[in-house]
Amino acid sequence: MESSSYPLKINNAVLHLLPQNAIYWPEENTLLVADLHLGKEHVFARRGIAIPEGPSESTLSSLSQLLQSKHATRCIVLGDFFHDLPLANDSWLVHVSHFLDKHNDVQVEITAGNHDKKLGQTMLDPRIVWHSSPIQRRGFVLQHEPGVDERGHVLAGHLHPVASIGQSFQRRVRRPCFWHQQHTTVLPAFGHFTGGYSVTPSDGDQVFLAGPERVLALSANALAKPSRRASINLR
Amino acid sequence: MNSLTEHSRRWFAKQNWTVFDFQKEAWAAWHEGQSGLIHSPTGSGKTLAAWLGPVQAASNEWATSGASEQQHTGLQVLWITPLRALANDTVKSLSQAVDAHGLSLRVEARTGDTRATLKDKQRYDPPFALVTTPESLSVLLSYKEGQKTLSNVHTVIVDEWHELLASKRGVQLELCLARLRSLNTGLKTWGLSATLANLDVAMQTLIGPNKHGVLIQGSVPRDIEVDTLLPESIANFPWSGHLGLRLIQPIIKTVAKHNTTLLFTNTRAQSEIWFKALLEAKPEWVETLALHHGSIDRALRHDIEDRLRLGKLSCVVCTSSLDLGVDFSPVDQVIQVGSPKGVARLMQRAGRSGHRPGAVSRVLCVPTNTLELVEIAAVRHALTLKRIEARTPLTLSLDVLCQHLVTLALGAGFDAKEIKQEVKQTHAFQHLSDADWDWALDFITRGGQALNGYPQYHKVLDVQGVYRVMNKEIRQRHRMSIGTLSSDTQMAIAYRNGKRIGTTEENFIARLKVGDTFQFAGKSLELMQVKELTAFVKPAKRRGRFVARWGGTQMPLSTELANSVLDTLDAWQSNTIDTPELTAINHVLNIQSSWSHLPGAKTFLIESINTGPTNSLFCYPFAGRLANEGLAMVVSARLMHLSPITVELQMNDYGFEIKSEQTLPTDEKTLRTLFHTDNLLHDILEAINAGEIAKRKFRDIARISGLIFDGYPGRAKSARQVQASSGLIFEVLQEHDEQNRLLEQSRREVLSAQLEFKRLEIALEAVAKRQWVITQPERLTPLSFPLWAEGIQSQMMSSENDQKRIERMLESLESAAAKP
Repeated sequence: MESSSYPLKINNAVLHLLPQNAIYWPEENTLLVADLHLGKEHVFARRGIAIPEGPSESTLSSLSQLLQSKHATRCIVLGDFFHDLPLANDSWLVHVSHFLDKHNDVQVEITAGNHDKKLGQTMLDPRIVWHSSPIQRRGFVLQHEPGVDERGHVLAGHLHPVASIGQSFQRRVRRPCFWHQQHTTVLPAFGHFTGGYSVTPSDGDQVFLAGPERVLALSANALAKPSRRASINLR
Repeated sequence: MNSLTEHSRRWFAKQNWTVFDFQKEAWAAWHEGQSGLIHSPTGSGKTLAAWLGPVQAASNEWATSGASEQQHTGLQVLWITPLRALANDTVKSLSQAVDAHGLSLRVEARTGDTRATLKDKQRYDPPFALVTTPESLSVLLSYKEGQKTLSNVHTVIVDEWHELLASKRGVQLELCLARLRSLNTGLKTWGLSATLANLDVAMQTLIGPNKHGVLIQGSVPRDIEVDTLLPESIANFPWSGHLGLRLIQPIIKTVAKHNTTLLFTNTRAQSEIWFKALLEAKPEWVETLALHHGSIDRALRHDIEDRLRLGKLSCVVCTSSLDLGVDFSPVDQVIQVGSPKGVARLMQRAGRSGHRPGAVSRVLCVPTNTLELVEIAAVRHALTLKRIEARTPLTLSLDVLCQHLVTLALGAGFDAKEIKQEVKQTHAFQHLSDADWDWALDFITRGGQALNGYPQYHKVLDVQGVYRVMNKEIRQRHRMSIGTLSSDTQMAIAYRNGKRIGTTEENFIARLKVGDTFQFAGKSLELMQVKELTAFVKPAKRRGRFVARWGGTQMPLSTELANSVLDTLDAWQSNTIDTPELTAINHVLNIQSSWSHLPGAKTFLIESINTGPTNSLFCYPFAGRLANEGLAMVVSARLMHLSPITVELQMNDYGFEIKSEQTLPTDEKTLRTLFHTDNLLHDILEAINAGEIAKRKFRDIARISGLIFDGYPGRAKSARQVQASSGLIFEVLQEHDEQNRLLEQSRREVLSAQLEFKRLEIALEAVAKRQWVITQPERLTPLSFPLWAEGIQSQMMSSENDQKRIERMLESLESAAAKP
């Protein structure tokens, strides 16, 4: 798994972009993820739209596997941990507690996003540490929305970036991606029931396609723009 | 039975109309309480054949009971139209007949365009007849009082039934009709249809399977004369699109000679190009030339239709948007640009011109490439043989069923047992399995089997055996989403003051930069700003560089026409045909025969050609573009099983190309193993990455079944939390609810609609029976050149080089052809 990640150097630090839509930060032994949107299917179901139960649980189990394989001691979620105010008997609340039981040795911290309603935070397992302002660490600013911050390079989520590659419409591949800009790096959404926003990189930006097996650095003209049939050598 | 009242007789005489036998037949059948289908070309008196039965009955009733105009009769007749744009015109012509019978009964429209106040009034004070669409009828059924009002209806007349027949709108209407039949067991259902190959199926689908109905043949179809505008010189090697615009001068001449011309093109983009070309050649026509297609704003289209009816236009460039509609009597010439691709389509379009009884319908065809001349000759051949396409109604569309069940649950609610029986009375669901039914019921009440964990799911509740929707938000949202019309993300195009010009694909706008100019609705526009789903534009001083694009593929060559093409080629070979089109391309067909072979109904041609760096196999099953695409994928997948190989594919209506840098087989024995029919379904599913296509197909299914809600920009903010793309929902269902039958339906639809699987299978069987001719021409042939050129063009965007490459190839081919 080690070889499948992509080491991205930012300000003398090395962040490992993982094909599982997460970043592993070795110096801090920390796993960074964004936009889990837990409980989204319950919100749909409550409003009469028949999305089956499961995405929340499988999102947590992916996170669990990743924490195990990295032996991370801290997990920082860059906002939108849940989708909307839960009901007290939503099953995903229990799944969160089971998840925390299993990872007793991992500190779970969340920088609240626009979906993480205050009241909802109090309904979740109290072992979670919530931050209402950005977390600063080793020259990085960790927050939900991307932006420019003089205190350091911003690591954020919120956008659910995705990119498409491929020659023809038939063979086009659309996957979550990391969007690295000069002052900020946006993580892909980690949740299994989250949509995507197609990136429009400017000059100097870098885009890294996540998974399924590896992280793939894309050159600017490899992205399938609507205007051009781009060709990319996937090898 | 008095089938023609005194009123009708006087009215016909006054209008100088003859009463046709088929009209008398229809009136008599209606009076006997029958249902049925009346088929004949447009403008032949079909409307009155269906409409006067109920009107005469009302008239008789008034005469006998001596009722005053105050008599309350309730809603008695429903007139269903596929196009809401037609509703107002229909109301007008139906009202005329009512007035002529001395009745003061109201005929009103009820569509998405009808004012809310009028709709409310219609519910407590219904008119005698309502002109409405399948969608609006569905909405009416979703109200408790709506069902009560509808229970009084004794006759439903479905106009242009052939337009609805093969679509989900047809399925939706079938379900509504079944409901109406339960509300009033004596309901008479009448359909009006153009000529189809499977009229009996069309009728049975409308009136319900196993029910007795009368099939009435309207006036004998007028003869259709197909003329062709022949170019002076014809290239040996056809290249799509390159011929048409060269014929603009003769077209201008013939337009000038006629009062009003309808010029049909096959795509919206083509209509934009032709409109622009005509206007550039004839700037003085700016007032009398118009452009009409489905993406132009409705108000603008209405305006054009009005001016067309008043005879104020000399030419309207249009697409299938004017295939339907009330008669535009000033039209005295119809031009078809490009092959019509189907026999019925050409008949429909030819019928748009001059409606003098007994007159011949004429259509002038303009080929856009050399081989289309064969198709034009073939269409004429098919017309004489009356080889017309069938339209197959859809079955087991569970998404439509789910929507319909929720619709019924909105109003008074429904009893599951009763409705199950009712639904099974339709053609679409006559073979509905218990498992499918149980699943659909489960889906609307619990969200499907996988939703057991949600205690709070409550779309439709089972209240003591009655299924009802109690939640106001769900009711509102469902009513807004009723219907089965697909709604791809479209961008509105509007001026800065907000005046709308029309819609186009999101993708097209995404390709433009602010300041770019493009051609749309016949205007040159400059992109100013894109805000949410609207592109704001202003008139451009420069000419538009791009032409607006729309999704959707072109109709493939129909089976009937493809077979006619093969017959026509055979006839040319045996010297038994003499038409100007084939004479004009004698030299092209000669080159094809002498360099390779000319295929026909009895031979299957494969050409193996080396073009420099690559080898190609060109195969010609003549199965239409979609089925040829499926065949190409199956054959190449099987080829890869023989030995690992990289190939590129290209297809058109006649055949497909398999191109590779490696060696391709050329012996008949090996090739035949690639074309066998065993394991076809398995092989194609493996070849096409069906999952990916099914995911795209899922959008409509998700919307119809209520899994996604398009919402209304700016209005339904609360809906934002429950928005997800259909692709995402597809993935979630696949992972967490694979028993969901909508997934299965989506795969089924890909096979039948996207790949024309049935046709593909038939094509393989036909090919197996033909004699195989495998040639190895030294160079590209007239049949293979267009495939090859399209392949080059689609590869990259560096178009200048490709253009040169194609031109160089053309040059060398032409010089080879010039040698004796």
